[in-house]
Amino acid sequence: MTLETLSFVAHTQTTLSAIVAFFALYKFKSRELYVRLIGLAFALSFLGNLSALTLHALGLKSYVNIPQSIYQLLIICVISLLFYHALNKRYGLWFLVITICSITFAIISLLLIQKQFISSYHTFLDSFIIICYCVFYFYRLMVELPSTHLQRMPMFWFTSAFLVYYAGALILFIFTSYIVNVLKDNLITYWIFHNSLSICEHFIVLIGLYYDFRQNRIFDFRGKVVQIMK
Amino acid sequence: MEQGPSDFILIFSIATGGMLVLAGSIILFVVFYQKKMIQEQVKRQNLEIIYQNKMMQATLESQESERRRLAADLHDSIGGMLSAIRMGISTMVKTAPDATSIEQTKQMLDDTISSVRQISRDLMPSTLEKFGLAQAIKELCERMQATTSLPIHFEELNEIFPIDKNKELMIYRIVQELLNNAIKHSQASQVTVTLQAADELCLGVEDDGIGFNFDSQKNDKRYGKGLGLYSIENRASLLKGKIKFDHQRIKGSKITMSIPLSDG
Repeated sequence: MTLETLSFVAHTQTTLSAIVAFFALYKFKSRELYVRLIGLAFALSFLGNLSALTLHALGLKSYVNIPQSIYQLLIICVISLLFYHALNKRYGLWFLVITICSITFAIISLLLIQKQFISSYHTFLDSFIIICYCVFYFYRLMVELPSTHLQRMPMFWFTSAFLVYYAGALILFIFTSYIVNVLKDNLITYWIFHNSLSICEHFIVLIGLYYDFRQNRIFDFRGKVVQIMK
Repeated sequence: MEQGPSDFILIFSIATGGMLVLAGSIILFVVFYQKKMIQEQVKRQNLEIIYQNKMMQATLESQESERRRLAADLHDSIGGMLSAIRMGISTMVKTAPDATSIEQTKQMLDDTISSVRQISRDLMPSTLEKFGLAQAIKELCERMQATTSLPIHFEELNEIFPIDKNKELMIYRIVQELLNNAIKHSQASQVTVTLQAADELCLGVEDDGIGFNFDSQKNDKRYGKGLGLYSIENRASLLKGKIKFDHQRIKGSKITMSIPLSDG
């Protein structure tokens, strides 16, 4: 596992983020709100990665973590809003409180505890929160039993993607500080694993977007473009 | 010292693997649970449909059995008593001084006996039991033509073999209802009833009147409206038949019903 491998995987992940954001935000006005929010989330991911890579390329290595820190602050807001709408605008107060607590903790961690250097504590907290969102959303699905097959619901795939990624990366985020400070590891291997998980997440989200296209007939795959006017 | 990092890598791998397996299990559980629930729902809906069909069948059977009883009572007791009264009056006519008024009474009695017989026949057509469906429908058409002066033609396109008596009675009731509708509402100058049997029994009732929209009439929520068409559909569904209403017609209406002859 070398730096070149990490760079390749990071670039792949960044490109995939751009592709997902494009497909989610294409025909913006005719898409459902949760699809637009997915587009926004992955657009933020793309911008965060791109900024970090650009800063690294420009030699501004001390600022490389800033875009990711901003991304982490924003992503919890976007995902909370996503699940708030996916759950039919119920439990609004809970989502608001959780988001505010997460952002508050993130700011405290960034400024006082870990500072910008590693910033893994609030990432761990966000991961835990998002895993809870995903499990709760699946629980509501089982209770409400939508009539369509789950596999045809885009939101099912989006939630699965988040669950797989954040469940897989949770342990990494818990031990990032330990790995760096105690084991003195440079995290290359771990970060390659993290980016690989992220790539899997992107592919699962693309499956969800495919089902969204089919339902809304954004593209007729026989070559004609058919649009549903809303 | 090397053992520390390798121990950590092992713990990290196991923990991460465990989390991924847990996430995958949750997703698979949700998918299979939902599939199972949908299957249960479909089973429940099928059972409800079967139950409703059985209820409908039981209701119709009890209706027919009540009609049979009423027809028998009318014919046997009231019809018999009226006939006896008529015989008594006929005897009185021979000996009474004023035969004209008694003659009028006798005429009224004859009309009453005739009405009782008609009601009894309408309630339970004996022709259906004795001579079969085609003959019963033919007699129905002739009787309705005689009552209403509306020409009603019956065409038996090929030989109709006897089928289950209950099925024949339901088909007869459907024809009765369709003819009643044509007479009351169509303003037609003639009505044609056709009957044909091959793999299926095909029944058609056609008129040249003002026509109507089958679906909007059936869904008419005003009291009493649409019930006749609704009962036709119910009977047809119990017979596993299909009703087709000809939407393309410019004038009049044509309803075609096809009923499978075998139970399979």
